[in-house]
Amino acid sequence: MALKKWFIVMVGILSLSTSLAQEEIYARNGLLKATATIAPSTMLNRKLNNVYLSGFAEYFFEDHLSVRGDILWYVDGLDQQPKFYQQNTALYFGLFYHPNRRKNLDPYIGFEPGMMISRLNLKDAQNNALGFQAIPSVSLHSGLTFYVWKYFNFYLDIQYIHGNAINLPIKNGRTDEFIFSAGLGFQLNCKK
Amino acid sequence: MKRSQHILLMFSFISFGFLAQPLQIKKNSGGLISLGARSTMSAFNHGDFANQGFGLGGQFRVQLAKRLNTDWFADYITGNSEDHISRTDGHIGWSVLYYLTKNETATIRPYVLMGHCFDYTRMVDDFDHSNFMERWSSAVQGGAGMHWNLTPRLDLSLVAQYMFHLGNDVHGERHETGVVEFHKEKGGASLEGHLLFHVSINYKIADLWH
Repeated sequence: MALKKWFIVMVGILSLSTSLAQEEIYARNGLLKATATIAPSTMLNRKLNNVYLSGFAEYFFEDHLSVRGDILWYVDGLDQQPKFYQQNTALYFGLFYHPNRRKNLDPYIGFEPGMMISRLNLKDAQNNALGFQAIPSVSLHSGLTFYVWKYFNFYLDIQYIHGNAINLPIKNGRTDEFIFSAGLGFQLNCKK
Repeated sequence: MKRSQHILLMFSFISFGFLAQPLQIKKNSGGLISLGARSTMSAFNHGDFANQGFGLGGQFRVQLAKRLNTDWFADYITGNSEDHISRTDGHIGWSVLYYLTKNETATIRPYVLMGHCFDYTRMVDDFDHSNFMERWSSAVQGGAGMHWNLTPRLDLSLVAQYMFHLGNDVHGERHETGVVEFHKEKGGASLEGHLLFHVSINYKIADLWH
């Protein structure tokens, strides 16, 4: 419920900003962007919500295409029930497509292969804590950026990540989750 | 700021600048070198979709002629094999790609591929990690795919291929007592395989000849 409210508020802020902003194309070849924020998530294969610190750096090498690297660092679970992760860090790098460059609004979709380095909050049959494992993962993004000034933007991002932890005493090791992030981003155009 | 951080920052900007430069094609697409990353979905056990794996990999391509490319790859794939048995696969190998169309600049460029691979497989009992089995083997693979050329330098590629492992067949079974027993069937006649689907992004970094 808290996630829904938070999401609705962020969409509202972006919509309001759209109506107030000046018209200029920022999303074009040469744009360098970076940001970091707190990102809540909801897991798809278990009733758990997590909180991450998320950040990315992105560069537009064509008007409609960019490369982007993302990092997610697990902070904690939101719920009182047993958490799925003890520790989790994920790294992704991939390609983003920006179909529409009208005005200041820049919707996008993205595909990023990556890897999670995770230590799950589970014990093996001998009651020993599980160690770290590398989990191949993929991240799909959809979102939009609103450029409010030469150097600042507001953004909203929904990320789906897929992965499968192995060597577990439980049947389902899927790590799939939706991660929601929004906030203030910074940009610099490296080309005139 | 430490010296290593300065170097990393400098390298990042150099990389971005490099990425944005148009590629000078000397004559034709022969000699093009590409770098890429890929996600892999694997259906193990002779194409049985019940036991899927998922992996991360990388590749570089060296194009030998207008219609012939080579793909040098490495993959790391994890998944479940049987009831509470986990499986990890490592692949390193190459494939030869033959383009079905002559047009070198087409947006969509389909191809067929054949290649060789060396692989490492490790199967582990989820309840007793000291109970495992490993195997090194070689493989041959064949399939089809297509490049979607988003720009002259960048493509998104989709591939489906079947990989036959030549060598001992490995599998595990959990008995009613709960004990997992791994089997390695020797003899070399086994053609255990898996169906692999790849989605990759690739960037042309240089044109070396032609």
